[in-house]
Amino acid sequence: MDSKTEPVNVNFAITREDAVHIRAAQAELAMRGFYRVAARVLGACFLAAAVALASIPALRRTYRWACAAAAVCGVSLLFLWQPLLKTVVMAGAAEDFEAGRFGTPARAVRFSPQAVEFRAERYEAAIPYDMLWLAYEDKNVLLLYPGIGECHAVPKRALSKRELEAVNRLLTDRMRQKFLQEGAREWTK
Amino acid sequence: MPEPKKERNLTVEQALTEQDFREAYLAMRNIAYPKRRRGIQAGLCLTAAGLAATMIPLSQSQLHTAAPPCAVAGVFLLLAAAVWFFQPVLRGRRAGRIFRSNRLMPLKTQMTLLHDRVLQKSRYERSERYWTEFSFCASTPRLFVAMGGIGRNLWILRKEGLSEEKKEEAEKILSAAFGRRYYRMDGKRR
Repeated sequence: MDSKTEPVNVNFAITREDAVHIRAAQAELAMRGFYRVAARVLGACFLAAAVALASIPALRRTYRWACAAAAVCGVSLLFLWQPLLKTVVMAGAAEDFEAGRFGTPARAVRFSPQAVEFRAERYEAAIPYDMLWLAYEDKNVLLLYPGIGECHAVPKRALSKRELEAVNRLLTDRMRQKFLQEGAREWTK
Repeated sequence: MPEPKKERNLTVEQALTEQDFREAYLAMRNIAYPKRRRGIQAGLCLTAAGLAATMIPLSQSQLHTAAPPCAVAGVFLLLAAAVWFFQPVLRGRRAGRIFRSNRLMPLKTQMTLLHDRVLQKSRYERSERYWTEFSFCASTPRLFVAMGGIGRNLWILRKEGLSEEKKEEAEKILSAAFGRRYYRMDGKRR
């Protein structure tokens, strides 16, 4: 997108569904990379240890308790940990939305070639793309992070297909490796 | 007719450093999550180790081995040592990472403190935050720190560079706004 391209304006109000999608995307982003791999490797190690203990009769008799504990830990880390965490996070999001902890619902975001502009009831900003820490997109929302723990969310339902493509082109061009998309690998962009 | 009461206000300009943010982050965590202080967490681990150790006779009579309770006690002892020595280091590193990730934080910011809110203005941002949005406020030897709210959840005002008059003014505004939620760093409520 060159500097003459029209900016994309998005006006929206956060709904309860958006709040749940935002938290789910944030949780997904937080569980990327190291944590996910570490949980899988640790889970596989626990299961391997359980199988090893169970297959050696002398050890099986003495360490039955350790074998059972390792199997439980392995299965939990491999299959239960992530879905459970996501469910808890999404339930918390709905509760937070009801309690008004998602801030002012009405917001406007403008993606111009130079900066991304945010407007809400008591907040205004025009942040150049290179000042942003990270951008993340999944199937429901677009998250823009000025820094760790601080996030501006744009629900994708508020963007038309053409607008979304323009925003994607802009973020890919301006943020490069700092723009992560669900299912995409950083080094392919 | 009585004259309307003059509203207190204070305008200051500051640029935060990583050291300021680290100090504010650690202070806020200690106040907001007292159960996560290293003394409490290490104490819990030692208690768990002690409880596991009391299971040794039972384990010897039932399982003919003391290995399980010894292993559990050992793990909790190691955990207590790790919490005591590494928790402050890890938290400090995390605070540093948060500060360095956010390029808006070290920018020069103008703040106007009013009795009910703070107005902030930097090169890229302008915001208005009511004190009621924050959970509490604390005064450390170098900083005033408020925690809570949506978005950037630490508000920091450096005392360095403020005249005694301005410091007093800021303290009056914040202690009046936060009331019982205004903490001194000794942990006592004001």
